[in-house]
Amino acid sequence: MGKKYEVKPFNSPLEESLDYSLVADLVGKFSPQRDPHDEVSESDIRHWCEVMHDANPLYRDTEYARNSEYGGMIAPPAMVQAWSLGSMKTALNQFVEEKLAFPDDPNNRLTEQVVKAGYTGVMATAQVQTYKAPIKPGDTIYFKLGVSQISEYDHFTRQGVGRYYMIVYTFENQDGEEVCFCTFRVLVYKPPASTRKLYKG
Amino acid sequence: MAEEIKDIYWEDVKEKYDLPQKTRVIDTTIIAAGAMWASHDFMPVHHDRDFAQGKGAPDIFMNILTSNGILASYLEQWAGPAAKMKTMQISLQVPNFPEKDGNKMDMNARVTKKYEEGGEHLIELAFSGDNNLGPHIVGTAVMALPTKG
Repeated sequence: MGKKYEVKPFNSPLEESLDYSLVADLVGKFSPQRDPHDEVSESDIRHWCEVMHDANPLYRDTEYARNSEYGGMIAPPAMVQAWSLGSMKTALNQFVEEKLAFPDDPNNRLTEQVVKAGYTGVMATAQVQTYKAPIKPGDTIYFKLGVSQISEYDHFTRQGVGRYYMIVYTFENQDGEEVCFCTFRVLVYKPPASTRKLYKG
Repeated sequence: MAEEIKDIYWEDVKEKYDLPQKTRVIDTTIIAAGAMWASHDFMPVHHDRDFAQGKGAPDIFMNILTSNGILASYLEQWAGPAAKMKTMQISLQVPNFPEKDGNKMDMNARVTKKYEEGGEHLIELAFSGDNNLGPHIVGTAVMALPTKG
């Protein structure tokens, strides 16, 4: 590292900051392959399309889709991650009770450290999805997630003092075919006493 | 499903072409339904106002998958069902909060590049979604379009 940062990054001397050496070994590690909460279904696809106002007949019209190059209905590619998010119970356990389903996964070990250091706010800030194969009703979308990058110092953001980290997802169907590769940048931050006034001006 | 199905062909697209603007109303229903019902995201900041305010946000806000999905649909609706989405790259700026008097997101996109690669006819689009507070989402997408030949 040494002289990499000529300008001293923002860091309040009064606040405890995350010690990067505690999380440095997580960069580049992946979780084992995980199961989705459900297989892909036509009703899940309909829910997505209703919210997104997506009228693409490949996602909603069986007759049209059967005569297409796919030979049947497919799911909107951007929907890939929906099946990898936990059930309501798992999610609420994680976010409210802070009980993680797989505490040893690299992303969860990272979460544990950042929460301990006081970064209790979480916000997804950027995402890149590369779609490789169509997703069809009846498919099971397995996934793996890893950590590819963690900020070494604090950032002063609109949300508060925080750190960015990058999560990498790979999604595979039941035939072992990769359907999507995704990177996901997350901001964890220390919520200031009142963020509300920031939005008023 | 009354909307007419119309395909855009690669030959007919020009660089610097601007897509027609579309606007979405951003309210509590669309944020909560987008998170829990459509993208299966039960993180309470997207549906529980008290929880979100406890985390320092002024209100619940849209999850990234819904923002991504709305913009992906905007582009796919324009291109038609024969187009294929290859990549979506987005970054979020000010969150999509619901507002009493109604928050709206204006979506715009422009064709920035037209090229062939690996036997596919591709276009690159730069897009944005702006709400009452400023830019919510910016990004680029790559789509493969059908050809006439």
